[in-house]
Amino acid sequence: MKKTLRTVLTAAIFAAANMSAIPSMAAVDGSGQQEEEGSNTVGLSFEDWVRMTEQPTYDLYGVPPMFDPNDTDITEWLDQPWDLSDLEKTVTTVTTTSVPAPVYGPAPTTTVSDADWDTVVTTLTTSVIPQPAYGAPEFFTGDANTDGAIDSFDVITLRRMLVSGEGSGSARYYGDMNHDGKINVADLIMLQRYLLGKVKDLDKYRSDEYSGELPEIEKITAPSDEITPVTTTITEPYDPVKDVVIALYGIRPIDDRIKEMFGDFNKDIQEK
Amino acid sequence: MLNVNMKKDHLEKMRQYRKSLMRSPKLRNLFLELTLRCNERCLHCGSYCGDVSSEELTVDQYRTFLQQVKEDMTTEGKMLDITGGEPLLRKEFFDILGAAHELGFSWGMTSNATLINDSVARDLQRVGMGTISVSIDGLEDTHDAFRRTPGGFSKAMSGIESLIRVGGFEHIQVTTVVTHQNIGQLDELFKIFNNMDIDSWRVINIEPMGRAKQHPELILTPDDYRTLFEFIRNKRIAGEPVTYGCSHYLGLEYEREVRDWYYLCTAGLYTASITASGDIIACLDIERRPEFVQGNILRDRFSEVWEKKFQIFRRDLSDDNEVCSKCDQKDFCHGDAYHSWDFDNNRPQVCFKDILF
Repeated sequence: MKKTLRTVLTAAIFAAANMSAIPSMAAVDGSGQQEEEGSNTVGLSFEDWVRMTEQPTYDLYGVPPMFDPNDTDITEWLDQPWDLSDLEKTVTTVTTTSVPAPVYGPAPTTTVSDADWDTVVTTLTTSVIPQPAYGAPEFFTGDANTDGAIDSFDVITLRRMLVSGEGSGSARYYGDMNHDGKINVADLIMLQRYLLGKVKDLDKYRSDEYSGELPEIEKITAPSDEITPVTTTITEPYDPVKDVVIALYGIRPIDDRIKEMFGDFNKDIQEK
Repeated sequence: MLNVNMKKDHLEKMRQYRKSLMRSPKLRNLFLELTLRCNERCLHCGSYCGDVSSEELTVDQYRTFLQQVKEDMTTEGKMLDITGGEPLLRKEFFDILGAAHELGFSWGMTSNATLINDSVARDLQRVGMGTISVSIDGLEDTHDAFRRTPGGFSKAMSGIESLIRVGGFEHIQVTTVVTHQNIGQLDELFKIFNNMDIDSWRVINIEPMGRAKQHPELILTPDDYRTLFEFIRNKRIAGEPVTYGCSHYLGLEYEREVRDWYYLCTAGLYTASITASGDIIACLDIERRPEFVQGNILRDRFSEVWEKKFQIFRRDLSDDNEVCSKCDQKDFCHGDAYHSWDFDNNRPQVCFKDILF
């Protein structure tokens, strides 16, 4: 499909609106108290995870362990030849799902805990996980800063990547929320909506196009603190004439007719 | 999401503008329903098109009508929207549109594209077609089943490729009607269309009208609607040329985000239609009731009908319904679209309150 100036402007409008008005990642518990932005609203800390699983602190990211993950001596397997089949191992995982309390409405009732609004559901699953040779295991998508939790710090990390155009390999993998091989505003918005509980099933939005290549960052411009922001002054008032559907049944008028449609009516208004 | 206060301000201005349009309507879109015959039998067809007999106007009748419109209203700022049925089933198709082209009218059409090959595409270009919207309603099996046309998908895709190959058209769009059955195919469809040199993809929901009323299993659930609009918005955020259609007020969250305009039902304000038999109505999607027929081009001068009639469409439907009249969004929604209003019970058949807002 053809991207036009219009579609690019539309994307830019969304990007500008999002960069200037990202809502606070606050969650409200039953008592009405608000958490401050940046707090660990979702998930456990990395140390909590280790404690709960009683696993040694081996590298969760990058090349997965090819032998017993409880084996703390990793030098042995580094010397071994390995083939692709070894990358599919049966591993026992502890899947901890933190259910964020919604901004509005009752907290989820998957587990009962009056005192702790941040309910945690812990399940023990054993599954064959085809881990990629490099890159993120599926269940850490969203953890852009790779601290073991998906929270507002990841939003900040993702936002910085979009502004700077730079990011580590891990950050790029885990920041690619929809797995389309790109880091862009769509990922940022999806992460925000996930943290707000508006998106629950990230798999629904995943693209099947993930190639395993390092996702590219689609850098966007944002106001810099060191540079005086450029203020765009809108000198013309909003004109509803140009904001009414012109393509009915999908039949878009040719460009010359569109100009006539807009210009002609403006002339009528002026004459009145 | 775009700034809500800004959208409220714009919608308020749009409300004022709509009031002015009710006093001074301005014809922009003139639909010509060339025929009710169709070589497909879509489950959602609002006009029950198919292998039916259809009163049809002659080439000379169209020529006379268009000549009158040009004399009284000029061709400036106006678009002829050719539709049906399947317009290309008319053997006089190129004579009719050739006449329109000679008179200086710009025009576009809807089509299932099953009858389009390179030769037809060249003829369309010759008689001045500017834009076209082709229907693809799912992946191959789904599309064929929905339109009850074996091989319809491949013929339609071939027609689109002919249009692209011949070139010279300003806008080639694909339209997909989303149902409860095909909503899971949106990602696959996007991949297919993204690899084609079309200009845009219009994604719309099935409407509870015509044949679709006999298939409630196809109507979208509230979750389906939310999925649909999130899908469109996400694509637009990524700069993709995907759009929702013209129908329905979507609430402050989705207005202006899934399409390049704010909602306004233009029936009788910007839009008029001529049925296959010559009746003058507002929008072809509106239920064909006698009270909605404003005249007939065989006996009435269109410009006079446009000026003096259409009052039934130049008002707020929300005034006719107690729930709507008390709704805090009624100034922006104005009772929503005419084509989805239940005139027997005076209520909207499609309202996104409690679904999207």
